[in-house]
Amino acid sequence: MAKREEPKVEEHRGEEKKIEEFGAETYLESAKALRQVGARVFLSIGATILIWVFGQMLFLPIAKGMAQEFLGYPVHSIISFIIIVALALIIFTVFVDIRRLTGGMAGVLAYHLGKASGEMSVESYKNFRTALDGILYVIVVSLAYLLFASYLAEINPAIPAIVLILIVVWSIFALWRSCKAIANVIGRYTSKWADEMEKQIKKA
Amino acid sequence: MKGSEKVENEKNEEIENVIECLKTHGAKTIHNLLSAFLIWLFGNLVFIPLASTLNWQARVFCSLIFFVAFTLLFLKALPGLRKLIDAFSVFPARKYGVKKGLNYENSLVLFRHLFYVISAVILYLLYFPFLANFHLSIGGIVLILLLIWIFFLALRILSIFSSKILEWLQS
Repeated sequence: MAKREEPKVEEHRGEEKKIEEFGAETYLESAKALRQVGARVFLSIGATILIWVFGQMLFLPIAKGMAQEFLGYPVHSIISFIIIVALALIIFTVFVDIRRLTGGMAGVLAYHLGKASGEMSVESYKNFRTALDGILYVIVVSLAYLLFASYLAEINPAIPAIVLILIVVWSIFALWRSCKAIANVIGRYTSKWADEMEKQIKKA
Repeated sequence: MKGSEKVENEKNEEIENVIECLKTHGAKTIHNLLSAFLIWLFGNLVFIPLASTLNWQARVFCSLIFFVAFTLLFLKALPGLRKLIDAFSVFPARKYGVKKGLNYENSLVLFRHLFYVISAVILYLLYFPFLANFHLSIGGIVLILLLIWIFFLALRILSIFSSKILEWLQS
C-alpha cells in the first residue's frame, strides 16, 4: 500500500515545487516592474495634476480675459485644446506603464490562488491579467475624464457629455470582458466542485 | 428495505441533477451575474455621479445605458439562475423540511419560493437606483408589482402551512 502511494506523494511535491518557483518568479517580476514603472507612474500623475491646476487657476482665467480670436476660435478654447493634448500624451504613457504593473499583480494573484487550490496554470495567470487590466483601465479612464471634462467644456459644452457616453459604452464592454476572464477561473472551481460531488455519490 | 432504497435513489438523482446544473449553467450564470454586478457598481458609484455633474439629461441618458446593459446581462443569467435555485433548494429542503415535520415535496416548494423572494428583493434593490434616476414613482410602481407577486408566492407558502396552522389553532 505504502509503495503505491509513493509516486502520488512525489507528484504532489513536484507540483508544490513548481508553484513555489512560479511564485518566486512572479514576485521578482512584480518587484522589478514596480521599481521600474512605479516612480514613473507617480511622476506622470503629479505632472498631470500640476498641469490641470495651472491650467484652471492661471492660464484659463488669463485667456478668458482676452477678447482676441485666432481663426475664429477664442483664446481660452485654444488654450484648453493645448492642455488637453498635453494631458492626453502623459496619460497615454500611464496606460502603457499600468499594463506592466498589472502583469506583476496578476502573477502574484495567480500564485496565491494556485497555492491554495494546489494547481497552477498559465491560463489562470492570463485570466487574472485580463480581469485586472479591464478593471484598472476603467478606473484610470474615469479618473482621466475628471481631468479632461472641464477643458472639453471650454471648447464646447456638448463634448464632455458625448465623451462620457462613449466612455460608458466602452467601460461596459471592458468590464464584461474582465468578468469573462474571472468567470473562467470560477468555472474551473465549479466543475471541480461538481466532480467532487460526483465522486462522493459513486462512493456511496 | 425497498422503500429506503427508493429514497436513496431519488436522493442520488437529485444530487446528480445539481451536478449537471452546476456543470452546464454554473460558469455562464456566474459570468453574467458578475458582469451585471460590476457594471452596476461602476455605473452607480462612478459614471452616473459623473454624468450628474454635467446636467440632468446626461444623468438620465447614462442611467438608461447602464439600465439596459444590466437588464440584458441579468436576462441572460436568469434561466441559469432559476435552474440553479431549483437544484440547490433540494439541500435545505432535505435538511430542515424533515426536522420541521414537513412533507419533502412541500418543503422543496417552500424553500424554492423562499429563494425566489430573496432573489427578487435583491434584484429590486439593485434596480432601485436606476429607476429613481428616471423617476421616483417608477421605483414605486415596480415595488407594488413586486409586492403583488410576493403576495401570491406567500399564499402558496401559507397553503403548505395551512394544516399546521389549523392544528395550532385547534390546540
